[in-house]
Amino acid sequence: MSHALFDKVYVEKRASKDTVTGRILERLGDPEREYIDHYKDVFDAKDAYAGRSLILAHNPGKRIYEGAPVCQSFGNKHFYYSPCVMNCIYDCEYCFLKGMYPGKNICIFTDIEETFAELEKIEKKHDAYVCASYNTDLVALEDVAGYVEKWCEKTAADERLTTEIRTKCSRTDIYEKLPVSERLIFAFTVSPDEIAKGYEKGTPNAAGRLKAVKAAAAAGFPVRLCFDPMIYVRNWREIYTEMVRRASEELRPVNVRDISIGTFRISDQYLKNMRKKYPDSQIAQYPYIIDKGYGRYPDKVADAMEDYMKELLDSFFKDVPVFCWR
Amino acid sequence: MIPGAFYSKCIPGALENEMILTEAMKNNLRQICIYAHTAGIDLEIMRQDLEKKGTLPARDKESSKKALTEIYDYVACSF
Repeated sequence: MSHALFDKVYVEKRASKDTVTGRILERLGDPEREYIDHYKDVFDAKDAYAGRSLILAHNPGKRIYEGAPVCQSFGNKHFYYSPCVMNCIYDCEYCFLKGMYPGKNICIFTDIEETFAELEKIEKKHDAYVCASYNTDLVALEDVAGYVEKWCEKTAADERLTTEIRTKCSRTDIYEKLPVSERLIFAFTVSPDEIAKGYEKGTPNAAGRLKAVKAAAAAGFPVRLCFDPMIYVRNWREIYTEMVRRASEELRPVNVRDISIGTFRISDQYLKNMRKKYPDSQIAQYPYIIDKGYGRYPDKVADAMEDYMKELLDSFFKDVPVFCWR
Repeated sequence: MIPGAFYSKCIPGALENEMILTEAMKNNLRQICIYAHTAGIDLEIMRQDLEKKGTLPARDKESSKKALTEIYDYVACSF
């Protein structure tokens, strides 16, 4: 594989001898790289470099965080997320990563075994439900990082762990090669094609994502559908109806574990950052109400959209448990 | 694009002049207008509709608050 995904490759000196680092560099065809002292020297750089670099580094801080209140816990008492990779290959206009990270650079923390060690300390007290792909799309990066396989192996071997890997990727080839566990849930964000085309640059269309759902299910993994975030646009009823109808047809033989729904919401601080960066973005510039530190649609809009979606799911995905973010 | 300059231009003068606005209300209205611009909503048509209804012009703070709520509903909640 070439490293055409990335303009430059940087390696933190302390990560240079890691097995994971060596494997990633090999997968990228042993590219030229620059050695740096700290990933933030590149990741947080203020000079507006428009390209995308890959940074291989160690995680200097916390590796397992408690899940945010606006994120779904699916009824799990001990809900966490783990940013083993920072930033995403896709370019979704509404993504909180746009408010959180300064640029397009992707940082892979090569000391993932330390993440698993931190997780095991938590598991001494109780079981854990971990979302491993919140700050990135691990499936889309699998050929580079190989972390979907790592999390699958870890989850299959660790009975106290349930893992969710969320993705928009349409790859169908990887699932049959991965170790299967009923505690490793692949969660597919499915959007209407109008939303994908308009606001999710670089992502596959709904048809592609639905094929990936079928592939994951055929390989034996539990699958979750995420109709989240729902975006308020002029013809939202039509496009979401069509999306759900089509998903139910395509997935008729598939045993969907559960479905997650929710209208768009984002931390107030990230929203401020996004509005500065994207003055012409319809999504960033919507006049959200600010409620307990989060921007969200007013009740009138959120209720209408979420209630509508629940009715659709009651028709098209009867008997599948539905979780709403609020 | 300089964010400050962009934001300061976004309330159409005709709209601002028809209400009594505090700074907080101006900020809210500004955000509504920026969104309307990105979503292709014609603020002049909206202003004329609100004039026909009698919502505008709003001559005091109380009726301006009500007008602002109606403007918000018109722009942000009517799809």
